[in-house]
Amino acid sequence: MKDRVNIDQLALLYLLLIMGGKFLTLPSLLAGDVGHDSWLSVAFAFVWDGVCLCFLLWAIRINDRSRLDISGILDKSLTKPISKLIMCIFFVIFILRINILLSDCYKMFSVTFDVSTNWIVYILPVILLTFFAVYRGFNAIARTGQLLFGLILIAVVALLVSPLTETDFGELLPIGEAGWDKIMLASFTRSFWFSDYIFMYFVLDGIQIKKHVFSPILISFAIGAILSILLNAIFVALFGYLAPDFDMAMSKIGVFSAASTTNGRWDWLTLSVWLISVFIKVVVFAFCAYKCIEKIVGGNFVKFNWAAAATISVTLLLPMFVSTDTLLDTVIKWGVIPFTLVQYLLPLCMPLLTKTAQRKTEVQSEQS
Amino acid sequence: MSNLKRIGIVLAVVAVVAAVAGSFKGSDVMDRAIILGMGVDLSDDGGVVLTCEVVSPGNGTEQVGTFSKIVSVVGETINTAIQNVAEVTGKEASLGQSVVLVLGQEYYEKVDFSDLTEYFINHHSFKESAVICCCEGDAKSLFNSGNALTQSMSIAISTALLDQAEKIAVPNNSLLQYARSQNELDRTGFLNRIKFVPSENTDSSLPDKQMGYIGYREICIFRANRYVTTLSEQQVKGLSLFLPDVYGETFVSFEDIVTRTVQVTDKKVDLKPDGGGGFIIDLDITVRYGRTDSEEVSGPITAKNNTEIPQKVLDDVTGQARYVAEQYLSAQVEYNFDLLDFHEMYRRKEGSSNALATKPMQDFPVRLSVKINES
Repeated sequence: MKDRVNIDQLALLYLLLIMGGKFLTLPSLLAGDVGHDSWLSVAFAFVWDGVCLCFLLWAIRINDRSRLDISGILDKSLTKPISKLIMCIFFVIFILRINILLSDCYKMFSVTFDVSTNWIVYILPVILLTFFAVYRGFNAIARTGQLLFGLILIAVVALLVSPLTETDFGELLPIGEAGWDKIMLASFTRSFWFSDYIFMYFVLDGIQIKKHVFSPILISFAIGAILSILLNAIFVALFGYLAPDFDMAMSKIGVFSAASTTNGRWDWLTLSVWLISVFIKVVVFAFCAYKCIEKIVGGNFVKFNWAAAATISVTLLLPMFVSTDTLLDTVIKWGVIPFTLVQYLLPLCMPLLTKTAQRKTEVQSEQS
Repeated sequence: MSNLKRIGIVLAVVAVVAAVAGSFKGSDVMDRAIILGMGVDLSDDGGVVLTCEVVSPGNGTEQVGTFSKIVSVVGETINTAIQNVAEVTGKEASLGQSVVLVLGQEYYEKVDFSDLTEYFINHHSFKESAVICCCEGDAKSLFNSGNALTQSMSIAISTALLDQAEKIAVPNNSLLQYARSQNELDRTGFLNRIKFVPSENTDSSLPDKQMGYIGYREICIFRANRYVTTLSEQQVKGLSLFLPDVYGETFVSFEDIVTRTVQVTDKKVDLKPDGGGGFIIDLDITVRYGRTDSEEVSGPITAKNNTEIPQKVLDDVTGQARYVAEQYLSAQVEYNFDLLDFHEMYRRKEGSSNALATKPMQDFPVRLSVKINES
């Protein structure tokens, strides 16, 4: 089975996904919302993520017996129309997240690396890479993540070291100045950037459990959460009132040191290596979007489905017609509520839904 | 899969790769005028004169590497001036490698340069950690004095202020720190004031060559990007005593008929609110005779020496340190600027407010105690 993945691979991939998306525009948006308390919003968002992740991992453990896929569980426990509706919401989330990630990277290439091109030429290699990965199966993506994990982690740590020494964390005081209600609200309104575990729904039937389910993934989650909170704290402490204006956090932090100009631009190298994690995230989400289409149309794509790939490819042209800011102010702003259903409510219900689906499957097999 | 199909796929991939590769418009390094440092002066019509030290990679007979040339252009704004660099050099100006920005005297004394600060802080390529400073006279002359140095003027200024200043008791500043200081709380901050100091030419093979070095012991105070005052050397020395990361202050004392120089090797600065709206500052300074030609090992966990500095010298140094510290504190009140973050300390306790931001320095009475120890 080409979509199989073991828990260790899943854990490493999850950490890459956490690091891949939260270091771009999110820190500046949060700084605009709650100023120097933005790291608290990130911390709260990770608390919700942590709770939901535990429930999802519980569901994965339960599902180990029957190896049902996500639509198998939802169809049997919530009925097919609701299952399809949930898949539609997932599809919208994945497409929006891919578009936001690609737009941010496009800007980073343009302003940091001074390489510019038109949108179609930019996404063409991304599309080819993505669908080659989808064609090879999730196992290929997971193994790629496993292979590159060490390099990317070193790059992230290296990017943080230089600004870390310049940061006065006293700037984060007084804690909670923006108001705890605003901080909590910001962690909710910006929840679109969190809950990276949602990709696990789409490999439920391929997860191979050896011994531990919780510990490897929770360790990854903890490392990812600490790095993300640290980066946010560094960002707002370092840039103060300027933080909301700097929309490329990792670019600003990563190439911060003036010393690198005279000692060699290793900062560009580490930034480039970190960018790989963003593209891995794009590939994983595209895989999930592809699976969503499979579930929505109700088929089982035994062979590579060109129509699904074409549909996803067309949706990636969105930034040519709508700017990222417009997307943030409209679709994503109002989409937070339905997105919350699948990001937070669904994982909390997953153990129950999985058990229900399992029971129904067993009853059906007994009857047949 | 048939061979024909495989060949077809390979050809398709080659075509796509060629199309994609050909469509990315990168800036070739050969087409770029890499600016190492910039100086900004006021032009006759109120615009800016921008002087750039440019490394222009080329081929053939062009010089490469650290060899640079000085280019001056005029523009209505800093943005137009930078665009005009392209006209003069024939290459696109690139600020990503810039390490220093120098403001000429007439410019920083007469102009509110908020737009300039905002331009560079929001510039995608210019680094926020680059050095920003002001200079005696005009920046153009300063950059054109570069031939007197053995290295690039921009690198020389950057090295002096980034690496050396803290070791000889001169505080320094980056663009980011400066920009924040001009926009947050009391909106006051400082820039190092540099100057080219000519020195005697001892090279008989080049008798006409000008020689000199960069002096950087002065500091100018700014409020909301407007010039306030220049601190004297004594006041700068006093300021540096309050900054925990700045070392190397020297004090000269007379022990009987011998002149002794002691150097600060470590310090503890305990600056805390006194609960009544003022501050208590305890300076615990560690000194030793200045006898080494390199930076000495310092800090609380270094091995202790036997006492060799007489109490009389220590008392004398205590008096001198207290004097320069008080000189600085009185300047802080007189010109109402805050480099010791008094406002920031209250912000960290109470949060931001307009009342705090506008609170004058005379409302922060200071009780100072100075203690000198031998390391």
